[in-house]
Amino acid sequence: MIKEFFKGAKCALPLFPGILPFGLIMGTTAQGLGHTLFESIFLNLSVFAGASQLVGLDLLNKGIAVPVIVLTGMLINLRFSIYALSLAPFIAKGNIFKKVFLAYLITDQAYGVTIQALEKKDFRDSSIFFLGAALTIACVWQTSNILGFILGNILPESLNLSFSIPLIFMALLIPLLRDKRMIIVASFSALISLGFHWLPFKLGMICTIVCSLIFTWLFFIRGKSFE
Amino acid sequence: MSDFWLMTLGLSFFAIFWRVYPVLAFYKFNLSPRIQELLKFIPAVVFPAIIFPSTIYFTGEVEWISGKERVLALSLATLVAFWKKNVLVTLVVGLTSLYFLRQI
Repeated sequence: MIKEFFKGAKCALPLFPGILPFGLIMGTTAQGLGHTLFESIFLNLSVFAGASQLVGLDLLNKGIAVPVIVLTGMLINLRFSIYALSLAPFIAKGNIFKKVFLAYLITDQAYGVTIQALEKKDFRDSSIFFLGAALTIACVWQTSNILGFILGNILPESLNLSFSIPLIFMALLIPLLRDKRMIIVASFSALISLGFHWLPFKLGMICTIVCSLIFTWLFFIRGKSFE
Repeated sequence: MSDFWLMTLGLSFFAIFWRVYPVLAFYKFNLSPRIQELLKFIPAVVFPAIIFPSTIYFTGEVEWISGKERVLALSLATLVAFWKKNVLVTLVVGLTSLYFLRQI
């Protein structure tokens, strides 16, 4: 059990350079907009979804009505439901508290690391592996947020750490492109994500996901048997 | 209740609901084999949307490649990802190549 946990935590280590700058920006933004440290920590713990938090704080600062902000955040975070559905066979284990806690820890990074590790099938208890990876990510996220709030964005610009995010997801994606279908779907998603990029409030992402899922269904799923 | 707390309440409700409901209800869904197959495509559907817009539309400062040094660094890192299939190595190659591209 402990071994699986640390295997997950170890897999999450290379993701730190991508999480750290994002967390610092989150903390710096909250501080800059006049929120208290308690508010910043509470927002981070309860929502635990960086993109929607940043958009939320920005819109709130611009005086946008709260229901509009919540609706926008709801759409940005919709992708978590397909991550959850995809991970459910591996993490829906144990009692309800364990399931809820594991589900709460789902993030882009935790999903990416776990789904890649599942491909290799080199661990026994996938839920403990996920816990190790996701909890490590959550700790770094929360710590960097607090540091950002107190110290500001302390990382030198010359390190270009914001570029870590696309690099990490590329490294997680490549081993999963096992066959021609995956490559076609990934190429389609890449192409249309560029077209949807101009949508406001990071909504391009959810539009890309919906269109790519429809594309996949139409060309690679519909009319085929997978029994 | 201030707008900040209302927003936090609303955002956290949906952020948690989207994550928790599918996990709790998974065994009630009885997903068809087709849906299960569709779920295998999720990384190929989602990750490119995280990778490409932020890289392609980013304009840096290296003039001889019109500020597209991140595209070049990502291309190099992609080749390394194919070769090594290792997150840390890909990350180091991508960040290092971007650093040197900016020094040229």
